[in-house]
Amino acid sequence: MIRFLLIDDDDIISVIHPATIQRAISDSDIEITPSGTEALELIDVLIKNNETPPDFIFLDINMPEISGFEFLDRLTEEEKIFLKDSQIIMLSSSVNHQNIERAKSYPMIRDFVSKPLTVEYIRGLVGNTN
Amino acid sequence: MPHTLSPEELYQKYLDLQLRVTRFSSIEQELINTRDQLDHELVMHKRLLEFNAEALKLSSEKDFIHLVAESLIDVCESQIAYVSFINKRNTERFLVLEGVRKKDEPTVIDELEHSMAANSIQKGVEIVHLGEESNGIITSCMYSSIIHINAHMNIVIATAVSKEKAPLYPAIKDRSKILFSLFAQQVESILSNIIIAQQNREQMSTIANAQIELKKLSLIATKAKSGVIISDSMGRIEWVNNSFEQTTGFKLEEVIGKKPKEFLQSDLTSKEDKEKMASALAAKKSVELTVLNKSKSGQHYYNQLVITPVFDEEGNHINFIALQKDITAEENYKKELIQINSRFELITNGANIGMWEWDCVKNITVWNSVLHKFYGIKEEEDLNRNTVWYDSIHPDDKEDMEENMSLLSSGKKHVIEQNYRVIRQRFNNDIRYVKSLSQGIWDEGKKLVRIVGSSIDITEEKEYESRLIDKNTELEKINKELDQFIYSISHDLRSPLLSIKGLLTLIETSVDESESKLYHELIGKSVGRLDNTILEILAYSRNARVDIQRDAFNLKEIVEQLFEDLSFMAAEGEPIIVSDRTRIETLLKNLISNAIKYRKKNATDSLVHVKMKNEGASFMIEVIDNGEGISERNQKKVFDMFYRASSSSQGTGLGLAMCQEIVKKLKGEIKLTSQLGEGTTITLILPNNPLSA
Repeated sequence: MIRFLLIDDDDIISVIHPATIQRAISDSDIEITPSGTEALELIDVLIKNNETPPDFIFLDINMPEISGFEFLDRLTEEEKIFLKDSQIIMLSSSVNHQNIERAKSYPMIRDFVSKPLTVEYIRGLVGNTN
Repeated sequence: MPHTLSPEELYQKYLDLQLRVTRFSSIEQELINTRDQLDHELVMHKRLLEFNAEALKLSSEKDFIHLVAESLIDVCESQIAYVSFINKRNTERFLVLEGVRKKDEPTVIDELEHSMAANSIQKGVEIVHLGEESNGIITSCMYSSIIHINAHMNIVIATAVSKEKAPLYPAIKDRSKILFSLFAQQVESILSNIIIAQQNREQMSTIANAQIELKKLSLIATKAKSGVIISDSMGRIEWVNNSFEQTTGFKLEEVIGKKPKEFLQSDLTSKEDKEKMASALAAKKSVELTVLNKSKSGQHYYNQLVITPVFDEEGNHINFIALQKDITAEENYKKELIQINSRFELITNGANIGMWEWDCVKNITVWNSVLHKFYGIKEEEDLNRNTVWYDSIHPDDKEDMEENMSLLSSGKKHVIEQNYRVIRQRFNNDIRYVKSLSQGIWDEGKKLVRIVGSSIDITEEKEYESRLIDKNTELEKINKELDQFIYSISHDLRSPLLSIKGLLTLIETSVDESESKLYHELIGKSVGRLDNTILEILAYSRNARVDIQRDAFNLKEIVEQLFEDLSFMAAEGEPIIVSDRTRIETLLKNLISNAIKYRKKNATDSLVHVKMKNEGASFMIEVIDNGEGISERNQKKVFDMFYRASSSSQGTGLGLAMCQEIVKKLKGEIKLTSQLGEGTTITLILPNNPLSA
């Protein structure tokens, strides 16, 4: 089973992306949080309960309160260790050069893609890791 | 008839005859004596004449004195002559003795000297000594005389005879006395002549020397580069040198006897100069001046003149010596400088450049008219008595100024450039910006003697510059905002579109009908969002573009309309106001919809309270909610475009930014107070009838 964590404030995207993932792979576990702060809280719960970290994190850049980048900046050492094998994919509805450059400076970020996610992309992503 | 004489008669006759004979013989003897005497005198006179002739041949005083001594013996038939010559000026003293002298025996001369000293001889001829000396050794008979040639020169002459001959002397003494007197006179006159001749010779040599000097001087005068004029006491030219001839074009022979002013001065020569020169010459005083003269060819030239009257030893005015120099070139240069200076002053005035100069040694400050005007100081006010310049420097710029001045005075810097502010006390303390340039001037001893400088009022440029900076900052901000705006707009426009795209993909592969229905609904929601965003953008741009409208309307009605199911409304006073209806609607719509959007989740007592107050000149609207509130950190950002403080609801981030823009446009105020978890109050104070306000 492949674990996914979706962090996105857009309620419609939060419907589309899980459905797309489920179409792409049969065996998945998907967690959805509408903001960076709630995602951080969730990760802490996972650590606390000694659960398995997500394999993929889809992180929206443009969110109220804290942006996707701020979420990454706020990760503690403990959280980073917990997420060391997780692959982080940045999502945005408009690809802006500044954001791409900024994403390159984070080694944790594996990819930077435009919304919406597609079945092909997810299959490719999972296929590559397997 | 014959006459017969008696013997008595005859004897008487004899006795008569006898008497006559005796008388005749005595007359005869007398005649003989007289003849002898005359012969003798003749001889003496001859001797005197010989002495004269001899004496005149001599030139030296010494030779003459010897001759006097020799002649004295001959003329006065004495045996010893004594001549003493004393010249006090050069302390010369000659003593000449002629005549007999017995060996190792004091002579009459020694006695004579002794006696002269004792008697302190008076002027004139007298017998000093006659008869037997008391010591019985010598008896002499003599004359002596002191002859004063002049104040510095005395001659003493004396004659003496030995005692053997002395008894005879009284017989001839009268005669000798006359001769001696004559001789003394002769000596006096001859010696005077000799001395005069000698003086003449000296004078001649002085004159000869003077002539050499004069030759040298005239050579100098001739070759001098300055023109030299020598005139007589009336100012008539006696001589001019080559340089004068070259400068003026007039030759000596043309101008001799003329007065220089007759041919050198022209109509252009200033009357003042003419008078100054004439009065100095009339008073026989030295004069120095520069006059405009005219040369022979008619060319005018500036003549620098020094005229000095010359006086002889007795103070009589003899002539004038004038030195003249053609200084036309210098004079023209000076004129040009003055012209340049005045032109410079014109330029500095025209360009409004303040010029100043400070003499640090004498502490004298000079300003041009521009600076006077700038500081509001009259030209006649004493700059050295006030410290207006220093006092006017802005306090924040004083330290820099002092540092710069000390750099200048220590010579570490030669030129100082500083921009500083001036608070003009005489212009209601307005603040002007001044650009100044100061240059130090040092003497040979490296001591700062003067500072000169310029200052320009650059306030307008400064203001323009700051306006430009402001404008630029504003433009940069707008540009950045625009960038952000475009990014945000494209994001907000793309997001629903991309959702639709994703949903369509899902529908295509969907097999479940209910699932497809959900996706269709979501497509509708996305379309609504897209439309909403577009409407908000339009409203925002409308606020920027559209002029303020004036409508009278009931605020309550609007709010009621906005709240379809309004349950509570509190209003103080008549809520009819005059303002821009559309804008007020937009304002209220945004504020109320925010209050609804960011209500507390899961709360059942959510409330929006709208308060209004018409205060006449202005009206107040308060939108109060008990929603989730905004953290202090986010309160400042909520008015930024596209800023969304909360993720609890979807928003474009345009709402509050637009509210602020509208309030700005209506010249009102917007205030936000909020506490996280408690609620938010937005207060609007807007002018009633904004156009008339």
